[in-house]
Amino acid sequence: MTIEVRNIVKQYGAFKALDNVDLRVADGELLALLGPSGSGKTSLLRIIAGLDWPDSGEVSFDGENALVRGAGERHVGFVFQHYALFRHMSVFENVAFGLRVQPRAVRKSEAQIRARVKELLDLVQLDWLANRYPSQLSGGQRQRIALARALAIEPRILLLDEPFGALDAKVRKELRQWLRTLHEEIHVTSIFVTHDQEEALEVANRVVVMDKGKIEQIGTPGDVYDNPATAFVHSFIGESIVLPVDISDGQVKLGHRPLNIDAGGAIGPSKLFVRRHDMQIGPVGEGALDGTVRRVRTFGPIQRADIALSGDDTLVEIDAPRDRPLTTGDAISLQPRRYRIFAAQE
Amino acid sequence: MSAAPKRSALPGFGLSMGLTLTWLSLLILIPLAGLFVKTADLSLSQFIDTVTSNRTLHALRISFGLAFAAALVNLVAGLIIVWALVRYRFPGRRLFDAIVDIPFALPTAVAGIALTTLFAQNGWLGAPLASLGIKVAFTPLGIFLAMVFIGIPFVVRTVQPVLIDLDVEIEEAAVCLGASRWQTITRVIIPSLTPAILTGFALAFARAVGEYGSVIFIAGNLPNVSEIAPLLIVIRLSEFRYADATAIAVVMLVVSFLIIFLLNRLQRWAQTRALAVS
Repeated sequence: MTIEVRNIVKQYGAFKALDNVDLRVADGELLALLGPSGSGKTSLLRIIAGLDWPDSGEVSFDGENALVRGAGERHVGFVFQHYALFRHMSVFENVAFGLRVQPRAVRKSEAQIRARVKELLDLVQLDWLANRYPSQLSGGQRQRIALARALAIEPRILLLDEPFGALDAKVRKELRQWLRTLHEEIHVTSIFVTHDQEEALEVANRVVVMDKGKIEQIGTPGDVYDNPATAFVHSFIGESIVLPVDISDGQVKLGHRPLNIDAGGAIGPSKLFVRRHDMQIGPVGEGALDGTVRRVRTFGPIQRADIALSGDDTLVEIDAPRDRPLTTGDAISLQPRRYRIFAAQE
Repeated sequence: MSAAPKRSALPGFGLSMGLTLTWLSLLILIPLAGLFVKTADLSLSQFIDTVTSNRTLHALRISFGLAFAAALVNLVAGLIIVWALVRYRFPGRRLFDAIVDIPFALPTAVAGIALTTLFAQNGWLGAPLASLGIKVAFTPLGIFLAMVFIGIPFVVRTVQPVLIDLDVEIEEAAVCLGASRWQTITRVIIPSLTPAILTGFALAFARAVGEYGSVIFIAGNLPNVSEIAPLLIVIRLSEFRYADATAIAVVMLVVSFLIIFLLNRLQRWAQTRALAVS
């Protein structure tokens, strides 16, 4: 099932939750909506699900207008951050719910329902919990049950709203892997919302980065990390060193100091973005920047150092391999291997 | 080895348990025991005669039967009121919310007189009803009405906080799974509220069984027609037949206790099912 979203606007009072959003999701894709809170990602997901309606714009599934249908008629599986399991029903009944509420004409027989629920519980590897109640399960188990329940109606689209947001780090990591594998198995078009970049980059085929109700960039995980389209994406995804620079006559200046790097077409007050591991360390005077090592920590294969840049003493944090050990007090130079310059926003 | 006293993170069990028992004894158990002691003045056959006389049986039937019916009506009406108060925002909502409590605060005699005036054959509501052939005041229907009036806040106030806490996501989940509005209400919302609904029902029922003040004004108090058990007790007292009065009271007490105990068990069962601990 393909999903197409066109010119969606959604406003809550004076707050623009979604500002002219366009998005196409290909059949069988696993897409992540990534952004800080208030970026509109959950609003977009709820509009696709039919739990909210946009002020204007279109949503279509396989070219068919979805906005004329309510949530119950869209055949969408929705997984909530806080599971939203029915706590008065056993795990089995929770999963069976979507099958039991079908109109009598199309409802499966009791035996078929039992078989289907069993199959789904096997799929999420929790068949041994069938007779428990939600309050007796751990968070990770609850979310897997919520997923099995959403899949019971054989949804055309699976939507997950911060599915791992309420879980602790270790379980979250396991479930990420598991969701990835599950998607490869069932291949239903899926969109999940997250504010955790690691989660988005690790799980999704494509990542949609959102901020302030707008889409900043759509691309593969590698793409959004290596080629951020905007300053926001660069600073939101991965760790960045950000330096205010001024560009005139093609020359990039930090304060009054020329940096000897290519401006790439930018003019006026701008921001220089460099990944922490993209700073080449060299002897003083041989790089674009000079500085003094203030503090060094080591994490496995890398060393992380705070460098005070000469001139205005700005502190930057860099990651370097451990083959050239740094010690506090060393005077060094830094040369950005890869960098991007974006015009400074007001 | 000396047995060290068991340490607990919550000290003060002895003190609080002692206070609880003393308090319960002074206020509830000792007066109730007096009831049984007084009743013991009657021989067994006298006791059976008293409580199985037509008039007594009828009064008990009226009290318990109408209280049950009134609690049922309150259950439905209360749920609808709670739903409106919790789920919708409308002008005057806080005012309506406050009005629900009036039956709690109003002196029951005032309520009884007001209802009687309203539903008497020449009253604002009584007159049109009378022209339809429906008599309310001075009939069991009037008793039922008074019981509905005094019971409504119990259902509203017990269910309201639970519905406020009920996550809207639960309903959204049901809708996404294809449930109709009706299915969502009957299969998801009502079952989630069941423990609170049962508690509210039990309270409304208990209050209606024991209600005296508002009922006697509207009941007409005809023996074997519209006489409630509490009134019969008062009549026996005024005739100085104290043991007869306590005998009826004992029956009311035991039946009420059994019903409320049962409702409590039911409520506990519904609750543990919802919040089962592993």
